[in-house]
Amino acid sequence: MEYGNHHELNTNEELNEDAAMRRLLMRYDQPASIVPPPDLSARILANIPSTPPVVAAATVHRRQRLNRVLSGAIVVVLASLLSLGVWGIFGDSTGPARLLGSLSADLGQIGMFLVLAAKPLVLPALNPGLSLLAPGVLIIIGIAWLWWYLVRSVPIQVLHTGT
Amino acid sequence: MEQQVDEVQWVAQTLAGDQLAFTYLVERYTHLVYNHAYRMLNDVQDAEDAVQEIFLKVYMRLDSFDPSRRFVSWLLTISSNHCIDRLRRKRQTWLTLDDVAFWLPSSRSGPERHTLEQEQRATVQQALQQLPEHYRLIMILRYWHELSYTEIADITELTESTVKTRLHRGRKMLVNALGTDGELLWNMETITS
Repeated sequence: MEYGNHHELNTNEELNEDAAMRRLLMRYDQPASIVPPPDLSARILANIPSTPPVVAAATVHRRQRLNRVLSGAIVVVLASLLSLGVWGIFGDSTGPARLLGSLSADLGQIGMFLVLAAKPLVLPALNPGLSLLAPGVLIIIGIAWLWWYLVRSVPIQVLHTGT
Repeated sequence: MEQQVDEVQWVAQTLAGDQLAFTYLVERYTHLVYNHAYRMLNDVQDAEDAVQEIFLKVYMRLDSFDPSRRFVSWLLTISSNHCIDRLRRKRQTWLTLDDVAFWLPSSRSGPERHTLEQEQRATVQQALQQLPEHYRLIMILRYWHELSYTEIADITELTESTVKTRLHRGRKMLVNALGTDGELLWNMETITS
């Protein structure tokens, strides 16, 4: 790999350290180059889109944007349904429908339908059996967090040198 | 210089839709990127996956390449960032099969000398893995890719003085990671220089 130069070394100490490190590495037969698998270039090229880079990048960006919009829409719909369910259970089931007009109007009926559809989403949470499970669920979440935290904090090199 | 002219031309041709031009870039730099990824990630399978992802990124971002910059520096910038991201993600994983299958016999065999060299290389590779990733990167760019301080600063987006400081510390860390033998050899080398 011949593309470097070293003329910017400006102090003797740096020069000496740099040279000493090169000699030390040589003692360990480094820097050594490893040969990639013979089919690696072919595999790389097989992954490259057939369209020009700008078009390929635009396609990917469009797809990412669409995914973001869809995810956002799903979150909004779910949150709205849950809110309607809560409103239907704790308040007046016909409230949302009345906001959209009378119960006999088309929009009002859609509102009513949504409230009735959302109620089963909220009801299980109010089940006393499920609330008893809550501490257990919290403990499991705590253990999962602790596991994740410990795994994350173990430096990779420890795992490797451990072998 | 001629190499750079070729590369700028290949980039322009690829951007114009000539896939063959990108093939030349891949063939020229697969070896370099693979070695860089292996030194950073310390796993051949990870390195192979990373190389494929890096070239895909390079292809997608080809229009952002500045022809006044050396292609290899730009390529190493993308490679380095990708490897660091991969290391961060990898930190969240548990033991891999390779980590636990150390007792499996190696399929490779060879003369004693070859084994000794392999061991010595592995020693440095393992020591390198003990360096924090930003120090490891700078050491690899300097001693495995033979890059100048200016080029390393360009790739890592650091100042030259920071590069020098990190190299100084990186050398010390590598010597420490090499253990007693490494320290002994280092003392010998610094005394003789």
